[in-house]
Amino acid sequence: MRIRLDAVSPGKKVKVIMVEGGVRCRQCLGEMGVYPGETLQVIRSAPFAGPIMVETNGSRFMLGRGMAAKIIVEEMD
Amino acid sequence: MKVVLVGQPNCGKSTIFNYLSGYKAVASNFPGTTVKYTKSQLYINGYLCECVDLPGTYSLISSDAAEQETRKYLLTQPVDVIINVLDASLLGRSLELTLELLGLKKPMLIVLNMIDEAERKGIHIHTEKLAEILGVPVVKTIAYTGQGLTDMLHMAMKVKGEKIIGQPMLLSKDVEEVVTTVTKAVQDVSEVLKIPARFLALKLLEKDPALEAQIESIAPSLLTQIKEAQTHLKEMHGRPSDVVVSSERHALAMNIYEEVVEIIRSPKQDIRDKIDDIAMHRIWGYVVLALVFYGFFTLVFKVGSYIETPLMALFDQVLLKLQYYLPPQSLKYIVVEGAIQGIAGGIGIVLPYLIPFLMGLALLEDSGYLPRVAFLLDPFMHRIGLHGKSIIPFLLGYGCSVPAVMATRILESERDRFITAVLATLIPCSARTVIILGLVSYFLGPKYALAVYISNIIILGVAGKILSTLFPEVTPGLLLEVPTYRIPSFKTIWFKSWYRLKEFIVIAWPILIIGSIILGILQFFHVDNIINSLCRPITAPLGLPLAVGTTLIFGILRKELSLVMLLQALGTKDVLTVMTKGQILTFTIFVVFYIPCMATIAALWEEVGARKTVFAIFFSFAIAFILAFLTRFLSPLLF
Repeated sequence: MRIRLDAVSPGKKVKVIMVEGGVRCRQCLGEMGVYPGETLQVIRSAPFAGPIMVETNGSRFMLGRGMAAKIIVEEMD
Repeated sequence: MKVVLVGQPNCGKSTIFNYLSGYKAVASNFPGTTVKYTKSQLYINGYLCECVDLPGTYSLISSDAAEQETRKYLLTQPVDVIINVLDASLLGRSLELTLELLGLKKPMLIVLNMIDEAERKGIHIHTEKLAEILGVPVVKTIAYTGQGLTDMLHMAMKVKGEKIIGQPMLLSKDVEEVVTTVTKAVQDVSEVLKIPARFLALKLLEKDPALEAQIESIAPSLLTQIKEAQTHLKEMHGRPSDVVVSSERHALAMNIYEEVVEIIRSPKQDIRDKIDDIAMHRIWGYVVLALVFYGFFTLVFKVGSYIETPLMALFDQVLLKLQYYLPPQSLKYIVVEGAIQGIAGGIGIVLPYLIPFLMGLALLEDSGYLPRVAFLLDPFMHRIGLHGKSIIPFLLGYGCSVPAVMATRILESERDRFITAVLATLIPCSARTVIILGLVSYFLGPKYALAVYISNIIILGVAGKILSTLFPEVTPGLLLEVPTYRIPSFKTIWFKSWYRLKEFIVIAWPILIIGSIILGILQFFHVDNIINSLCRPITAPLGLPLAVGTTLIFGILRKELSLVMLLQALGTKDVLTVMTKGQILTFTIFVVFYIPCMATIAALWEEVGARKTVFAIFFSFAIAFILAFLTRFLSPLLF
């Protein structure tokens, strides 16, 4: 099932399907390792609709909900 | 010979640089500490070398202002050797930048830093294999202990001597065909721009806005051709051309990673991940945040006041003794008195608070806690139209407004940079902290000092809301790497604090002493009355003694001057005998917010331009005046 990254609950692993948004946004996310096909794990989310923390390939980064909503993912088991 | 250190943010470039140069750059544990390049000269085997520490960058596509600095430097400055520093524990991702750098065709050397951290994660890297694939030498280092750095320098000499430039990596066949066509097409232009043709071609296929604009101005017809190639790639792969190229590079980096890395064992359970379960928890995170900052300021105040009281008493004694040797009311006495008060201001008021404050700030920066604060406070920053990253310049602002204004370069949008820079100047820097602690806390009690800080944060919120309404634009949102916690070494904490303290001792203190003497002389010839009456439009509505006018003018030079000068202008150390508690509070509120100091104005000018700097000056003055005016009439309710 395809969902947006901001809807993924902490602890879940997902596979990136595609990244929406402009060139800049795609580039910034690419720099963090977000490419189609890569696996991401949502570690935690901040309260008050705050950012979420994601791990991929051993590095961790945080991203705002707005940006997370641009990443279409598929849940893995 | 010119050697440049290039690498992704927080991979330890500045730590290496400091090890080589003595302490000349500020290193911290958060991405984007270095926003401007730092240079130093050193000798390797008797050769004079210039070593440059460039801001960290994830890639060579133009992104935030600090990253652009690196790219611009690499594309326009003559460079003899590129030392590409990689965080060995994040090898896969770090290699993407390496692949881009190889395209520059300059002598290059790979440094796998934090090799200990990689081993802790159970990763073993075969350096020979990596060197063979990339065609450039690879050295392992641990920057904070200095391990491998001598090797690194010797290797840099060798790389330069033998002009080892490595080999560019080929992409998959169909993409490579398009790249080759574009490379041929841009051949002539690349010579004009002095950028290797293949590098230029790849960046254009990645839709680099800066290079596209350059091409459009030199050869508009070429741009049409490039656009066609972009569309061609998109049609072939069903993805935009920039994604095609960057995904190829990503895949290439991952393949190299797979080839050279051996996972010896599963990573050790790291207690540091557990820390975040509390430090970034939805509830406990905020409790920790409050405790950290409460603890921080209490400590600074406790240490400061413990030292301040006996020191000030000592200087009072010296001044009393002085009257035996020099006739009071003589010009000589005034000059000597001024000098002593200036020295006393430095030793007795500023240093006791400044040293624990700077060391505490260095500790916070190096531990890696600051990005966690950004995570926790991001939702609140959105309320004022910014996002979590702005928290880092704000927190640096408690140290000094100048690095705070410069740190706004880690932000992506110009509008966010401007708003953050203006707000950062309103944050009480260490000089203003000295005023708050030395005046409000000392005479009215620590509770009032805390209240000043809390109201400062509230005002910051309101001011942020006003600015983001005046300059409406959607902020791009937070995207920030979370560094691993590190236990800061005492040596780096001490060096960093000393580096910042030196600025006070070398620049501010002499100004303080000279300013103090000048004020004495002005008073002797009654010239201060003229300045004071010129300041009457400010001091009168705020109900402040006329004599404080001069101190406000001096405060623009250096904020510390306001306090020291205040004591001198009033002619007593016991301020309560000449000012009411309400007046002390009004004065402090005004000084905290009004006009940034000269150094900050200069920094603002450079970062946001003249027009916006003038705006910032008026904006801060208006806030200061309104708040101080309110304090004047509301303070009788408190005391």
